[in-house]
Amino acid sequence: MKKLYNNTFKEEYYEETLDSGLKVLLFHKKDYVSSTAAIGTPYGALMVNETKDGISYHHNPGIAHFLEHKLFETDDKDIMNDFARIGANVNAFTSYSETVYYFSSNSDIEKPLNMLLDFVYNFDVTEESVEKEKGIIIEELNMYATNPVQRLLNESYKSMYHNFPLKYDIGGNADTVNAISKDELIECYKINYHPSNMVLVISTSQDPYKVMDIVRNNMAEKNFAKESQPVKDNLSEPTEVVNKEYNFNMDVSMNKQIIAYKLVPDFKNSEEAFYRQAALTFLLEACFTPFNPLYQKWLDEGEINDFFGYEVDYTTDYAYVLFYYESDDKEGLMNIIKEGLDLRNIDEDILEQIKRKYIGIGFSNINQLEAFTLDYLKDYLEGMDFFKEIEIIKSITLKDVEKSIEFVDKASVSMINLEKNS
Amino acid sequence: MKYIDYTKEELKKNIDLKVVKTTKYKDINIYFSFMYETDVKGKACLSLIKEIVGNASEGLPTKREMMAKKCMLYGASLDAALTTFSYHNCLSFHYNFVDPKYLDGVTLKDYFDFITDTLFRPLIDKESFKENQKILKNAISRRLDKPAIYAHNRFNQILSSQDERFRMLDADIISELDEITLDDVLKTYSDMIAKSYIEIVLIGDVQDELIENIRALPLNERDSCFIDRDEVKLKNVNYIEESKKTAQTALIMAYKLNGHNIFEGNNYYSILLGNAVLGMLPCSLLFIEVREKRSLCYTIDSRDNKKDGMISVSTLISYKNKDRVIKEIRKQLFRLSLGLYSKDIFNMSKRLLVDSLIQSIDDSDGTYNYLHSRGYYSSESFNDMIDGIEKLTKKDISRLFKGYRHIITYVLKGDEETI
Repeated sequence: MKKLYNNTFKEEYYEETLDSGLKVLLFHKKDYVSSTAAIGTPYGALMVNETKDGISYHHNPGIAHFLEHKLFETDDKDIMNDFARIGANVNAFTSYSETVYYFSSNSDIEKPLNMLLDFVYNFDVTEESVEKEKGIIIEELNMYATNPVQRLLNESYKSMYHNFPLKYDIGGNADTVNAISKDELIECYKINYHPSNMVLVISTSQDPYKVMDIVRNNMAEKNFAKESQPVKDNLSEPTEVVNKEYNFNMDVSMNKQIIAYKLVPDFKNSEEAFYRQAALTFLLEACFTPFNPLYQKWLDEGEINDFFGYEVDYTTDYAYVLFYYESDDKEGLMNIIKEGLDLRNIDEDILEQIKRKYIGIGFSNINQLEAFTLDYLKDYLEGMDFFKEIEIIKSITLKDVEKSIEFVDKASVSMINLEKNS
Repeated sequence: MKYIDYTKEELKKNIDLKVVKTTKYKDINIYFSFMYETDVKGKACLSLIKEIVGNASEGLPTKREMMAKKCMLYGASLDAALTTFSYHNCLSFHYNFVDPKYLDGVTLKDYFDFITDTLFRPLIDKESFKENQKILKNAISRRLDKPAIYAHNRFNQILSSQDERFRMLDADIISELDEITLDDVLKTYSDMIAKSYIEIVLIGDVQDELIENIRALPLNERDSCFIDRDEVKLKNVNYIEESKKTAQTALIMAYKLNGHNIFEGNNYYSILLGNAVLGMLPCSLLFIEVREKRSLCYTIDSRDNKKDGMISVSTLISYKNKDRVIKEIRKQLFRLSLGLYSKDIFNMSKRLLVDSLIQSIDDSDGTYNYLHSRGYYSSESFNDMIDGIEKLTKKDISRLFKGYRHIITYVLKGDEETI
């Protein structure tokens, strides 16, 4: 077990890769009452097509999320209740990039940690329980669909991507959920839940050496054959968007719009994606927040309200920039984007201010045990080091930020309008 | 083990300072809570103050200057929240700063100057009033676009016809926002600073310098009482169904526990645990019976309104399943009241409730929430509260829930063809 120390955050932690291939990271958080452990696989909603050992697989959209639901049941036992009996809260989530299972507990970590490893590495499901789960998942999807902002975002993905699975909701849709079978779930589990493909992150005040022993002993009792890693197959994706304009209606008080810039993800690795994402985020922060004198003018003239902003998401699989606002003027948002970027309101002073803000956010993110554990794990699964992000932020130059404006010329653009029901 | 170690000091009459000194966080959290009684108009004013404070101040008169300052203080944040407690309102401001020992170029004094400027010298003028009036109306309308929130607003509006104290939600404020003036807001702000009960909570590796600065704030003693323990009186409304063009149906059922003073004996703990057994947790009766066994919903939960002795159950469902879900909810509440559920469920709920309470104090907001709510219901310590819950039996829960009475079933019917 290797002991590590991060000097910026003054954090002590340990890491080890077990014989099974499971990577374990253990943070010693001395003053905390509770402990959190999270185990994750880089198997998210984007892994609809994948290859392992030379065999290609295509699965129903939403299957990673379905699998997450079903992992909580085994031999008619309810995992959640087993955790509850020992006073531990267990939960899970599926995102586009990963599936994560985690618990928090105030007692000795041994029991819940063993239970977490046992249920994640023992998938046992019946046809009946798969069928039963479909109703629950479809209600979950309906719930997200009633949220206008969530729906606007999902429609934006659909308008951008022809083939790339970001076009599907994380949970799929009613048809794909109904099409998922027990056999398909087992196949997905076998491909994606091998320990060599997974990471366990633990934050606890308990003795790190004893905690690592618990993990070692538990995993030593399980048998895992050596396996290769699954590889995501990204279908060829045209550079052009699907819809240059798409309109849909909901029962909302005001019309909303997203302008989406679809880009080709030409990043060598996750670090470069993070670097370029941060540089562009800084530029947009300088141009589309009160840093820009035009911002107050836009507010005063009613061109924007508090529902105005942007989002940059650069990964090695996809890259996009979104701007959103709330107005009846369909042309207004594009004019604001042009006006804001034309001003190019960035200099060394503003850059230093923005950098300081993001350094502060880095420190804030480390205080909540559960949130920190999950953030660290997510970053790791996505090829990033949580601690390194702050160093990358510090290293960004004004030249990088200015250069990031090139996204405008490189992108294919889609305009998505959510209109009030008449 | 003592879970929360803190000091409490009365700075002036009705101004309390609570300090939790801990090295576990890398930030310093400072909470100012202002509590006093207002009507709906006053609440609308407070809602605007919540938006305005932190946008601009005498020292930082533009949004740009304010933003630059927050950035220079390493992402210093100021979040405001308004909660209602019967007629009483609590407007709280939460300042979050990175502990300066981890950084270069900032000091505690910089943080304190930022607090005094933003909180005690906010720029409330004609422009900020108009701008935030508009922003707030938009934000409320946007919230009400979500069917679950819209349903809760309608539910409270219906109950407010019987008791004004329910008239405190978004939909009511929107209409009041057009009526209030800049003078109303200025007067409310001035009353808030001069007359309300103030609670200041400091959490982190708090240095004496900061405590001294807080003690020296120019705040006068005040005559303020913020606890209203009159029980709400509600008649049975029975069943109300409305509709909205949306993909799901929202269902809310509310019940009143009769004949018990919630502040007597262990009633407060019993409603907490009873609610946990009914529908707050993944091992709760509603979760097991409605979601897991019958697949009728994804989310279903019950909430306790401790002060008013009320329990409400909310869920999002398909309209075609409405009658089955209503029947199940009734059945589970009936089981709860008679103790017709396993000891295993009772023990699991108790363990999870106790553990989630203990876990909540592992972050600054959770610690603040506990310290803040303590004065309302109980003067007991956190450890006493945990002991109180641990000692409860199934009989305690049945005794409290036995006299429950149905108040209202509210259905916001969705149009399942919408998507």
